[in-house]
Amino acid sequence: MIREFHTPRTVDAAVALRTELAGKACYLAGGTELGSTAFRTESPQEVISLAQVLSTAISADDGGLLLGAGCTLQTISVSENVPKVLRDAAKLVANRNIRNMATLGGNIASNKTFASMLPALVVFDAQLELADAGGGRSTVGIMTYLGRGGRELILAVRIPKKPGRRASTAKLSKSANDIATLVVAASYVPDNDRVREPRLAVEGVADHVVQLDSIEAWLEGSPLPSRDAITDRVSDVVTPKTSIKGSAEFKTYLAGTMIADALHRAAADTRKVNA
Amino acid sequence: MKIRLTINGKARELEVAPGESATAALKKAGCGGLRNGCDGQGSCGACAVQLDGELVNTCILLAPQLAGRSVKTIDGISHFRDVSPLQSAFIDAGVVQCGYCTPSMLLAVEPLVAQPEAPTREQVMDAMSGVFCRCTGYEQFVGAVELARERTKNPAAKGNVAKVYRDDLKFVGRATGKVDGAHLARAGKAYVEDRVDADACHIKLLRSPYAHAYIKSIDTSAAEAMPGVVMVVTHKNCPDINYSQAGQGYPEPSPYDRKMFGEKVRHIGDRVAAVMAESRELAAAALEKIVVEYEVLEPVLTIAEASAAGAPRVHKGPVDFISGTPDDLDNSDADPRDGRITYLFPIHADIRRNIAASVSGGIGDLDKGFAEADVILERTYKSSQVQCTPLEPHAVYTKLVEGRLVVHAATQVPWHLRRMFARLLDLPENRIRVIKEHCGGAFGAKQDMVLEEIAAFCTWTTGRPVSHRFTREEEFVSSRTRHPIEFQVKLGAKKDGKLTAVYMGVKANTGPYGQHCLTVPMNAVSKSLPLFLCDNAGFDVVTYYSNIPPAGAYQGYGAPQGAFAMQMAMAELAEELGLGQLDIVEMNRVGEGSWLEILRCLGEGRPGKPEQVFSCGLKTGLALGREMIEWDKKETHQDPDIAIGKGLAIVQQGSGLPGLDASNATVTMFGDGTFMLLSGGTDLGTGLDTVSTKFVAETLCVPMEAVSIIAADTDATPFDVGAYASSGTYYSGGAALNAAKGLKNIILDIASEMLGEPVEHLDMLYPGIIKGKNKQVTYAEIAHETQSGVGCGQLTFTSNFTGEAPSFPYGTHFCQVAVNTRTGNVKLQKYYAFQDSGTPINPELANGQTFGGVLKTIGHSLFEEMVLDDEGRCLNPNLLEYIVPMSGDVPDDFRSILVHTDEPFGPFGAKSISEIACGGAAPAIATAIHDAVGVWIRSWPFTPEKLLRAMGKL
Ligand SMILES: Cc1cc2nc3c(=O)[nH]c(=O)nc-3n(C[C@@H](O)[C@@H](O)[C@H](O)COP(=O)(O)OP(=O)(O)OC[C@H]3O[C@@H](n4cnc5c(N)ncnc54)[C@H](O)[C@@H]3O)c2cc1C
Ligand code: FES
Ligand code: FES
Repeated sequence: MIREFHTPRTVDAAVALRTELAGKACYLAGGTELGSTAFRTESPQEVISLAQVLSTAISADDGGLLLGAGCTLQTISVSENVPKVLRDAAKLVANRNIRNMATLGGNIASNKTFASMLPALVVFDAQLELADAGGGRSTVGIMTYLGRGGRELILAVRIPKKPGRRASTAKLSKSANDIATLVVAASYVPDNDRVREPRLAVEGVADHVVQLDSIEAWLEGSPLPSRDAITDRVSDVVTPKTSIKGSAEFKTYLAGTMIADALHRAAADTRKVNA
Repeated sequence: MKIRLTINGKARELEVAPGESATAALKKAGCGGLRNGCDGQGSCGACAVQLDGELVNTCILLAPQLAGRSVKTIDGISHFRDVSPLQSAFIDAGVVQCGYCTPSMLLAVEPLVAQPEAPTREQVMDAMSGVFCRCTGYEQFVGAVELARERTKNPAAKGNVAKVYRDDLKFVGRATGKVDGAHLARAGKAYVEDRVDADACHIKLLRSPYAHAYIKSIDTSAAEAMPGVVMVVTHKNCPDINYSQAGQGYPEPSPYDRKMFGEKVRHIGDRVAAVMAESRELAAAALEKIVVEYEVLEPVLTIAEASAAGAPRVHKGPVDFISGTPDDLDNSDADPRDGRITYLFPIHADIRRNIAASVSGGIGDLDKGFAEADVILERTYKSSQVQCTPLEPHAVYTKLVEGRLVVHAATQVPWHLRRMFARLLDLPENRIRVIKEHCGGAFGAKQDMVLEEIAAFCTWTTGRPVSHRFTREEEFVSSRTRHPIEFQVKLGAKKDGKLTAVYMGVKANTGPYGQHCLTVPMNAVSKSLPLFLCDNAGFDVVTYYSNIPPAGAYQGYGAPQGAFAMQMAMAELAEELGLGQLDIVEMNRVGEGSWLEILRCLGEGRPGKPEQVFSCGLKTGLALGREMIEWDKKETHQDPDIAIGKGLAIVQQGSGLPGLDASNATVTMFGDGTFMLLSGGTDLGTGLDTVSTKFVAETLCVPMEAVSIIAADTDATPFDVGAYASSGTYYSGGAALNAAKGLKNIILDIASEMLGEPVEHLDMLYPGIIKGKNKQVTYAEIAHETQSGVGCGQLTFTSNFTGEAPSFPYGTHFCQVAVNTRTGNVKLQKYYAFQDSGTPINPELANGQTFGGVLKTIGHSLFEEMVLDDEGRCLNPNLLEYIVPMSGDVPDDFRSILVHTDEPFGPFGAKSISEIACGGAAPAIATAIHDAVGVWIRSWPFTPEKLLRAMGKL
């Protein structure tokens, strides 16, 4: 039962409130997770609205692209400045009403195993600009943030420049609006015929998004392997559980197949995604 | 706390609680059109508003999130009584069916009307992608938006919403819009929830956590002692009467096998107790105080478990019969805790073997037919448990008015409800009034009494008004679902494809109680076998009790399951014989003039008889489909991972139940020569009231606006069996037509007297004039004459409609799928439904019925499924996890083509629409999948995992 609704006007005020109300309050952005009986995992007594705190701007500079954490997924899905693959990722949320409400920061912070943006952000080496509890600002890699339980306030997401990078993302779900069984993303930088800096991420095989470091290491510097070879490798390293969405065997097969397809699709996509 | 915001352009200040939902706050602020379909999941969009121009779901927003923002609700779309161009386009395009989603849909697409460039189909679909509509199939919204854009420039624009099928008539056979369209498009008060008074009490049910158990003890004292709790009902104080909840005509074929509350619970979610309290929250809190001790029994969930030797028995109570008591009736081992079962007539049940009902029959000689065959094919097929999911869950509001029980119900069967209440409450029918409110979708689930009797009992006992509405979860676990059915189909054929023998074995799972347990599975046979002509045909139907959530009526009523089995088997036979699917269908199908001998042993509620087919659009449908989908062309995709295939199915339904159904209507002339039509017919959003109004206006030669309609109110309108078995247009419409014809004769007689000319010299002319050879008289003058002090009295005529002809509607469905051979994902590229419903009375609404029916069954085919665990608990009792089709699931090229035939027995040549649309998708898609990737998927749903397994990839 929510008893207080705070609307801080500055980032620092929001962070201070959160520190003061530790254990009782949480941030509220679009509210699509916090407000939904299907997804809510916390029942805070107080909420700290980020409505007046978060940037909704999308801008580009020498360091790459900067997306305010308050951007809605709908804004991202139609923004010409945003690489197509990130737009595609936002559109994986097929429900327009949810896209209109859900924020980028919320999609990351809620860290669900179907979060549409996460695999794509991971394969773009996204950096998160955070407001720390002590009042400072810091920048961390998205996997680091998620790995440590991601409690800090996300202010913005930076997509570093990476000339020549190719990428792709996809989901498998039973219907358009169904919560994805699996979401994958893959990227790499072609170096003549070699794969450089491969990034692979998959959801639906563990509680949270998984970056496939061992497969990335295997791919690094080699020619792009066949889809079958990639599938076999990926299938060896993922350990999904059987659920209402499908058997473990199915998800294992799918993770391998979809990662392989995503990589090959990325290879076929000759657009310079993020030059 | 106070928030400031703008609502529909006006600055407002609202007092809200920090944790209050935006829906509640906006409703308190007087906003209309905010509905609830998912209990705060955020998955259905029924509560949507525009927030700063973007559509959002208010149920997942906190009220304080609205601060400083601009909200637009449905009230901001219309101005006073006027409808906007968008609303009028919605009405004319036929997208306002039940209307429950309409406010959200209007708000969803409104920005597309104003944008400078014409929106693409994809943009319209995307705009609606968060709003669930179970009725329309989404397709016609594209045309509605286009029409609205035209109308903003030219208010007189008509668009191209549907073909004209009868240019000799004024209203019948052409799009006119729905008579209740404007009311619904403005979100006027229409549904049960709109009728609930502020002083109403509320009911909450305590439900069983076990699939099969006896209630050893139940202590309600703590709940009863709570302030604000009015009464608690359990098996101890409910009426000691066994009944069936099936809304069928008396004597029902469904067994009376339950009480309002039983001492035995038979499924997870079965009723244990009801609390009536002064608020919903109090009722919920009181449920927690009820202490129940169960004796847990082993459940049976599947047909295999229910039919196994020594299986636990779902029903062990004593049995009796109203007629046809068998000589060997033996109740010696009955357990009274199970409650009594009464059969109104024998339905060949055997509760010792968990058999709820059974029937067998056939024509010709099956053995001989199989002996003559060059090829025999035997296959099994399975349907899964799917739920009707009307956007509005079940709801009822009961109150006493001057000592009579008044029931506002979202029901398909107001008169059956009245009859059942009378028996349960021991009241004469004249003390009860049932008013059918607008239903936010029904689809068969609302043919049964699933909560109404508890509210009626509580109101009658306490004298206080009671509101009861299911949650979405309750809708899944205790409303109605399609019977899961297992089919064994055996076909014998000559080398050239001609059938020599057809056998269908049907095993159905009715769940805990036997509503529709005989008739649904039988309909799976009676609507699928007669599609193919074969002299030797037979069937066995057995329905089992089990402890799964209850099955019952669902649009199509067994026919979709039967069509899947039969059409698949025919396609498999074609493959076996090296023939084309379309060719084998053509060779064996029914056609105009065919006699359907098999119906001799498939009577519904009365002995069967062979029937002749007088109109049949299959030939045209198959020919058009072959051409339009380029049946003979093999398609390829530029992506080598994608395989494309085409499939088809032919389907049949009925037009009501001949010999059982009956409808009545009264048409009365008012003082100015306008008319009131009192119709028993139950419009569920399908457009029945429009059909009936058209019939009267057409017959009496007046504008539709000159005919008002009141329908489905047991006090105000005459009797009708209700809306099921696709009876609406044919029976209820037929009654309105007969009443109008009767009144026409009277009007002519009176005019003849007034004009002094014989009736043969008179013409009835539009708009309401009787013209003789010399003079003419208007309806207003006739009304004045007849209603004056020297007149013969107000002109009125009551008539009924009953029928003997089955008037089968037919459908031919073609589809093209693209299967991703790596992921098993199936994409529908094309779906064409060729629907023969005789004369389409409301063509735009008939198309809407077709799109809606098809999309529902696309859902059943591809993803919808109630998943139960080993204990019988439904694991996905919500829209998000059960998965319902949204606009993103609409086939890329989706068409409904009405094949106009003229049925000699139907009103204006009409047959039924609606249910028929549900039969084709599963077999058409499954055969297309086979065409694409060479595997037969013989069970619903055709999930990627199932496809991959069949393709040997898993
Ligand atoms: C019907 C429905 C369908 C959905 N479908 C999808 C889907 O297909 N794909 C998908 O990915 N998701 C889906 N979602 C989940 C969707 O709610 C989230 O993905 C969404 O992005 C969360 O964003 P939000 O702004 O609404 O978060 P909120 O609900 O406001 O917050 C979510 C969590 O994140 C925290 N948080 C929010 N912003 C920040 C921040 N800037 N810094 C730190 N913490 C923060 C909050 O404290 C809270 O714990 C669906 C939800 C619904 C209701
Ligand atoms: S009621 Fe709000 S989305 Fe369903
Ligand atoms: S018209 Fe959309 S749910 Fe009925």
